[in-house]
Amino acid sequence: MRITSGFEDDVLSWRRLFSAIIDGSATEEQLQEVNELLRKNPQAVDEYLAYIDLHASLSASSMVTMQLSSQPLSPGVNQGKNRWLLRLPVKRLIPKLAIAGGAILAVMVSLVLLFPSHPVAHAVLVRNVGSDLTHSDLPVSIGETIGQRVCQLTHGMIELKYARGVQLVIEGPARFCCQSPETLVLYEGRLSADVPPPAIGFRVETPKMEVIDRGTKFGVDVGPEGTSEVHVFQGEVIAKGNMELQPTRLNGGESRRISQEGEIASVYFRNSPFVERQELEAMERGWDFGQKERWQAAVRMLKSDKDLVTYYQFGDPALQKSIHSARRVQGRFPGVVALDFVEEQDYVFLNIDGTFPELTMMSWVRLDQHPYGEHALFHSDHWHRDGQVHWLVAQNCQVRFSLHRGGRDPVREVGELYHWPESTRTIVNDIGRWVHLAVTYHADRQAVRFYINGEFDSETIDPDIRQAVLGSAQIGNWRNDNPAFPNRRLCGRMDEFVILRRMLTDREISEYYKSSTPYHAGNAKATAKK
Amino acid sequence: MTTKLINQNEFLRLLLRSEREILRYVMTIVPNTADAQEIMQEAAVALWQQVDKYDPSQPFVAWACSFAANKAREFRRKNHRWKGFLDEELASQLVKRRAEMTPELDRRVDFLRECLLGLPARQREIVEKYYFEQASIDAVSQAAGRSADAVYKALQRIRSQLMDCVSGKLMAREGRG
Repeated sequence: MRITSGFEDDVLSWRRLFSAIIDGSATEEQLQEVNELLRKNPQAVDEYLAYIDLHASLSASSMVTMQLSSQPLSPGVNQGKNRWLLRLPVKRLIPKLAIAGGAILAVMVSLVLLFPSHPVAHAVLVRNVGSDLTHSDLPVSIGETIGQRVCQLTHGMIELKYARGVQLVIEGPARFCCQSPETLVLYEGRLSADVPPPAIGFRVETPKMEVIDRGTKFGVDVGPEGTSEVHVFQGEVIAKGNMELQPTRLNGGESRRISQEGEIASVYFRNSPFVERQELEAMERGWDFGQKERWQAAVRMLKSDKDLVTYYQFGDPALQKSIHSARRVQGRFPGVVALDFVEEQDYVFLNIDGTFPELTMMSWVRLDQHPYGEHALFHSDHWHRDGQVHWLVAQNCQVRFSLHRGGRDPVREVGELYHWPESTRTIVNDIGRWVHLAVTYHADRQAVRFYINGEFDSETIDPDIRQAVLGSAQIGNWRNDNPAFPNRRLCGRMDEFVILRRMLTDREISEYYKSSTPYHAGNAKATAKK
Repeated sequence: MTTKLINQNEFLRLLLRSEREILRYVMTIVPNTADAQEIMQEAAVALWQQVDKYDPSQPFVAWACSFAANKAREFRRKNHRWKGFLDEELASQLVKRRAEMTPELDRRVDFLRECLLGLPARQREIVEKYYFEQASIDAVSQAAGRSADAVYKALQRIRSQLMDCVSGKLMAREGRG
């Protein structure tokens, strides 16, 4: 509906008419004029729909959850206007709902809106994906309001709808307090915020930082040791450390970290730590569908496979000595531990003896947008030796699997002579989401096969392929002492790492993916959790 | 009993999540905010009466909008001031066209956020009071020290400016214009 010359006057006169209808001041003649216009002029129809939708979007911005604040907004505010649920005349509505068989709902609606669960309630719980959310040590149910007390969840994810329409997804483990209609204090945990125009100015406070929204989507991460980070997905925020005199403006794609000691550090933009609402919906369906239980059953089968070499689930206490520095965070299911690889020193050490004529490697990962080029998944430490294995996501977002050919100059091979086998598809659309990667190889068949999210991607026939020799290796960041090879980084989360001494079939990989994905596309209710 | 309670929880949650979409839909044919909210009250009751018939494999918003559309028709029949605006056929055409335009309208809402930030302070105050704080026109005019007529005109100008801003951003994003 951009106005161009010659068309401008028409559009402006249409808008005046539409405004009169909105305001209720249109005369009978004006109504008829609009009717004629909409019947005869398709451009006017589109202009009308866009104009009315703009007005409706502004009107809808402050619905329902505004009722949750028991504090008056400001003098002169008409508390009754534009609040449709509160405006439901209770005397009329409750009997209606009761007649309709909805006595409990009627009571619930009334209680939520007129007598919130807590004296000063600022938000309502609208979604709960496997969390153990408590408020003053009491569990919180969907539709219940949350007031100014500390809430805690050790696992799972929740969605809160805040006053003025702010929508927050909080991932456990987390501790927070809905401090006021405009403020949430996050003591620990991760949240993503979607702040609509009426709520501009919404504030997230952490022990080290305050983040003031300027109309945006952003994520805040407070680690257990108190480090606070903000990452802006879209729009603008103002961030200010407790010790800083001047606030800083951050735009989409920018980020900021303040350490426990109050030091400001640059940090690359990360989106993998944050679950946004659309993703949460798919995860909720997966949870309701019973995906976690399906995955656990699939793992039991996997562990009984005689060809299993290694199955790493990072919450396993037996593995803790092998994990260097990486933060333990929530995995793709509530209550499951993943590792967060952020710093260069974050890695997992492993040592697997043996020579492998066949191999399968699989992992669930959630990657950031390549701040350091490649994402290292698995790297043997002695790359100058025959049969050493490197598995990574290359800079082009294709998955690469390299087996070292002994006796040749590896630097030349990497740079000039060899193109290492790579998937044909990229995982660019899976950045910031959980993605399942698998690779299989067979030395005698000289074949490397790639799989992304359970789907076969491609096969590379490589006559130079050797038997794999794993030995000491690192999962995640690869740190090595050879100056010929730069260290490699993994930026994101990893949940599960599997090695088998045989090629899994396409079907086996597909089945494992289906059983272990946290997402579900269909409707969970139709196939409810058993 | 347990099943029923789950349904009630789910219903309330779906309603909370869908309210904006439903209001935007209703306002296509009843573009006055207060009237549209009145229609939503009626639709909420009707939805609850029929909740057992809701097929969870279908999108809730579409199901709820069909009830809201019926209630909007009833409302328009009963309220004299809407009788002269849009007959049944024209209203149906608008709803159909709106469905086709939904992806674009959703993108426009995203840009609206940015455009609001660009409004001059005085205009922004009016928007905040009228739309976000839901103040009456009288309250807005008192706060702004302007007549009610002037506030109506200011709102009209603001909406027009926002339309141009949103359209400009949309075209820039889509490589048009």
